[in-house]
Amino acid sequence: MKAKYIFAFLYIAAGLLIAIGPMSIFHVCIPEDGRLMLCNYTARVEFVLGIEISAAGILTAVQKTDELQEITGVFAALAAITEMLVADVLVGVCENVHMHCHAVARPALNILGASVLIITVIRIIQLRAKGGSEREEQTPDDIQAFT
Amino acid sequence: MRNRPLTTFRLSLENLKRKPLRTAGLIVIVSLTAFVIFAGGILSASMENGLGSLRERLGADLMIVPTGYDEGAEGIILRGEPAYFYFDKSVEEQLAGMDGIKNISSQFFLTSLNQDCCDVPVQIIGYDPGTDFSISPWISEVYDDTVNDGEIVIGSDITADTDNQLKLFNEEYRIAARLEETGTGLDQAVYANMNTINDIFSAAKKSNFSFIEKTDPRSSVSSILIKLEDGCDPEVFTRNIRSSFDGLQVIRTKSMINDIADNLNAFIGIISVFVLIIAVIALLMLTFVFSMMANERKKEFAILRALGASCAKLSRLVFCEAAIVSAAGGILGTGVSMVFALSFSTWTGDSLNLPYMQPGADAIIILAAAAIIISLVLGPLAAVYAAARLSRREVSDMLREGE
Repeated sequence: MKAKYIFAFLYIAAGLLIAIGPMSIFHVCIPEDGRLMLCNYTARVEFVLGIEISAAGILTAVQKTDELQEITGVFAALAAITEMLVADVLVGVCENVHMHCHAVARPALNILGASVLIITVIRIIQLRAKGGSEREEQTPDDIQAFT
Repeated sequence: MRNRPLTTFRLSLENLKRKPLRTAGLIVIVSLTAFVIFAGGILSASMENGLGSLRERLGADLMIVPTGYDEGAEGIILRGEPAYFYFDKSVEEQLAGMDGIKNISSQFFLTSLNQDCCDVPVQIIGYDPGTDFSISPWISEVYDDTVNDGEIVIGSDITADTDNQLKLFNEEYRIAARLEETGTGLDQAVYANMNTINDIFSAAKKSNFSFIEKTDPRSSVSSILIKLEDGCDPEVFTRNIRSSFDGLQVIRTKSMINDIADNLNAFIGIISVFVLIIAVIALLMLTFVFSMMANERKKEFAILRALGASCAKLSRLVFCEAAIVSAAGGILGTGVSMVFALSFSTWTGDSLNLPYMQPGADAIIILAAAAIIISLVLGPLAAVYAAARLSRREVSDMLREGE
């Protein structure tokens, strides 16, 4: 299986978890009396950012050139950084450490965001190494031998 | 092209790179083992830490509460579940006259919403600074001064605003100190002297908080803590209280701690067995795979032997591959386990309903090192059989079998 499909799958999976996780498996607080809390707003923003990361995964699967793949990876990484900042600083979650959003949702989002960053770094290293080995295959000696 | 010497390490690395999926599978097996070892270790250490902390903080031998509220009292101490219940304060004076008591002090419980954050009930515990022997030593560890009227002391998990004030029942109270973490439900409580409790009680009534008729901090208490003199049998004393007073329940803190310790030991036992099973399964799987790898590379080994490599060299090659896989798996598994264990520490403690306090950085580093070292040993140990078989083979046999 081509490496790009593996990375595409990883981006899509991480993105979907970021988008849907705060509303399901690592849910934020349930609003009482219709009153939204910080964590509820965080969940909404994370939904959008998660969809963006998944979209980056789809693009990774369909793109043909390594340069575009790198750019897509950087885009996914920026979305991941924003996602972590939203959960920790920009919007945040409930301050009480025992609330589910603080104890579960926020660390889960941070881990997922960091995972997307690591995936991107590995992908860029892999693309550069692939490009380097392709160039190495045609060494000056090899080329001279042909001419 | 650069000519780099073909060392055992480089050859092992190239061999592993040639079969990326198999190598990844082996690393995953070792990672899982390291993950389970570290997670099990941190879980056990945190629970033991929490129990030790509980033993330290519970200064009383006996805790007296109204009949039927022992679960409520345990919920406050262990799980931070707010509760309030009352009985007549005159019981304290009557108890004080009994023989065998070294210290006696009462507490008054209230619950309130922490209006600075979230709609989560907060336990308020009123104590008498003149007689208290349970909370005061704990406060003096972090605060040298006296806690004045109108001031409160908060547990480590209480959220407060930046002005160092806490709003309870629409009234602001200055926070004198924040207590150190205990890993128990006491981290989620607010502590105040009796004069402040009277203010809070009045504020509660103004906020339409309903109490049972005649409940008042001046005439009611929620619990009485008793420290017995050395040599006084808690069992006998408990029987005396039960025969002398109606409507009271006696919680022997030592029994409570022993029950928790029994649960904890059982839990740690289960974790240990689980970790052992995982390690044995991993060892068996690695042994099988390394044997299979040695078997399918007979021709390769035969060529190396023919080129002059000794049996010992071949064995070293197999061990080196195993060690690389183990090192990578050990570091990866331990790293991932550390991230998950530390990130979800609060949720783990809440889910277990047992005292839970994460150990310090030094203990975590030791646990991580232990997990990595055990993983490092696992691979080479699994490779022993394959290496031993290799060292007994003749070159001609290998070549013939490889055809």
